[in-house]
Amino acid sequence: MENKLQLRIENLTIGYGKGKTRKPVLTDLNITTESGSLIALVGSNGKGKSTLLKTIAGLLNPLNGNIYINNRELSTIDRLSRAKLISYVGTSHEINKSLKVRDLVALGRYPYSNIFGQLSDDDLKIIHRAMVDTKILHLRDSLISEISDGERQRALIARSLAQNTPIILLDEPTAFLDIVNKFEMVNLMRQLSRQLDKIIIFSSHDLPTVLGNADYMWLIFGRSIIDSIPEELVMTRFLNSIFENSDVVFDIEQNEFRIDTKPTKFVKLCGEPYLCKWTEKALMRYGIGSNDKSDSLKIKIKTANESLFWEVVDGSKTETFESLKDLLGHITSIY
Amino acid sequence: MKRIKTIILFLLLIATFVLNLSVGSSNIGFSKIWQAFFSCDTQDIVHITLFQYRLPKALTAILVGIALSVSGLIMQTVFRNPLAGPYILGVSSGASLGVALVMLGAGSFGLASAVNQLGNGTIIISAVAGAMAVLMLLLVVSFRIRDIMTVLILGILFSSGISAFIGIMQYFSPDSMLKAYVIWTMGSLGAVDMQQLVWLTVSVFVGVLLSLLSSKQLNVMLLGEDYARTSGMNILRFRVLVFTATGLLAGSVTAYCGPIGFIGIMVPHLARLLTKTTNHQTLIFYSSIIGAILMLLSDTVSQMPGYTGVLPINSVTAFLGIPVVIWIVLKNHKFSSSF
Repeated sequence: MENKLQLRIENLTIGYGKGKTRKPVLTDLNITTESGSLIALVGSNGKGKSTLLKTIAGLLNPLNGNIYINNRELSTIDRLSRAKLISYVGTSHEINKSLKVRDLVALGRYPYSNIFGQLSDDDLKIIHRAMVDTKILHLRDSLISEISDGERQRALIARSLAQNTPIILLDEPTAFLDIVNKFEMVNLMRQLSRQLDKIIIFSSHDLPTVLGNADYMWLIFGRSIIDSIPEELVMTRFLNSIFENSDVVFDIEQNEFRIDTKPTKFVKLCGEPYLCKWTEKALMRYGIGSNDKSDSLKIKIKTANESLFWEVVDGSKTETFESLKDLLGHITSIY
Repeated sequence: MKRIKTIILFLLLIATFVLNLSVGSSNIGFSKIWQAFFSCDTQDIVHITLFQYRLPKALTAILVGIALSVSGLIMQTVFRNPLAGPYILGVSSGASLGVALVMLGAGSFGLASAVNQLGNGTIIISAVAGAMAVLMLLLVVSFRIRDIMTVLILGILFSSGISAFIGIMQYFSPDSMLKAYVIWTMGSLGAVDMQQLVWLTVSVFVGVLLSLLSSKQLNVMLLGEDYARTSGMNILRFRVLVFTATGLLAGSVTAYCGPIGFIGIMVPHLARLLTKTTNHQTLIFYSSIIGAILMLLSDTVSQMPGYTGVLPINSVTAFLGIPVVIWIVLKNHKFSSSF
């Protein structure tokens, strides 16, 4: 743990174009990070996530400023040495689908192999290891066209592990994955950053998967980046402030985004907390919230014989509903 | 399994080679060929036919098959397009323009007799110059434009523009010159003499060597350019390398034998189908053998065994190639997604 690798971004301005036509996307960035960190680069689409990753990867030139790896400026490092320091996992749509998983991972050894790309025993061991670490060893003989999006993403990460770089950049690795795969992907990246002591930077616009998993969050705010711990950004309510002018809010307690509907009517919910929570979610769609004060309408949620039912107490009258659909129908007809 | 495939292919190559030697305006038996091959009787008619005409032609067929197939393979990977071939870059068009300028241009200025005297040499030089000119143009464009698909589209446009220009030249040419040019565009393997064969061998050898040297880069190009560059690959040097290889392979063949179609598109697919690999070292090797076999076969068919006439080789490769391409398209329903 003594020889920590350091990535330092100094007065960096990134964007496209040159001279008069240059379009800066993010300006005057100053961030430093060390190995063993999982960093989530968060921002909405078109705010410069890809641009930053591509600039660090050397695919785009910075408009201004410098990037240092252990005090060496990136542009002074030759291509092959750079490929041994930084690997990049971009989109997969350009990848030839008739490649075998094993061959795809093996291409990660490009900077190390000879002119004919022959693989040594050590190379083969590293490739094997990378497929074990990403849990795709059983797919090694499958074609890229035959595996799922999540597996393809794992194969691409395996390729980048085979490239054996202390820094890995991933552009939207969870973009096309279902919710379970999303969490597994972030979990995998966290494990890799810890076990292999790497700096892993991934871009995402999916806050719930980032929270509780990433060590740091680089949040794009205007034309700059706020470098913080994700949980802290939640606690300081900063995450909400960035959506100020939008109907979408980040619900701090539920760890999710939702459309900001301000309830106009209220009911009082009683029962198990999780039952209340989900009933409230359904009611919220109709602009009905819950509070303790409400004395006009009270809904008791009960369980009996593994089935649910809802009791609506309106003054002295009590009605029972056996499905949420019936309940919602009743409530919306009253209000 | 791999070894068996290789052995079968080599046996097929030898068989088609011998078949090609024995078939022509007069059919020579295998035994006679065997005798003539080792005899030193330079007066023997079989010996003369074999060494003056048929052997150079068969060797040309092999070189043409190798050159077109390997350049097609490279183009398909570089342009990520399953239907790319030497044609697509405008290399063949460039060569045609060179030839047209000499044959038709000089003819229309009343220099027909002068062209006849200049003969083959001028045509070859002008064809190579034309092919290289188009390649240089594309190379300059690709320095400025990163997107390889844009380069591909420009190649197609150059090619169409050149064809239109040649069309105008044809319209204004005298009949005799026009016929000579049209015959050249039909392709011919028989017009190559021993000295030209040496030049063809050298350029195909260098072209294949450059392709083999770029096979590692071609493999990583299967991931797309972003992955290639972050793997430490020098894209510019790679393009110079593969464009030079294609220029040498497709340019020299077009110069000597005319624009020969479909081999460049078809053979790489057959090689992929046979080997089930994406490794370019393997694919270059197999494409070379399959290309050589198919060219020998096409040439044998074009001799129309039993008849005195010769079919244009370009028509034969088209008849042979189109069904194969259709079969490949139908076999892989997701033809485009395999790239």
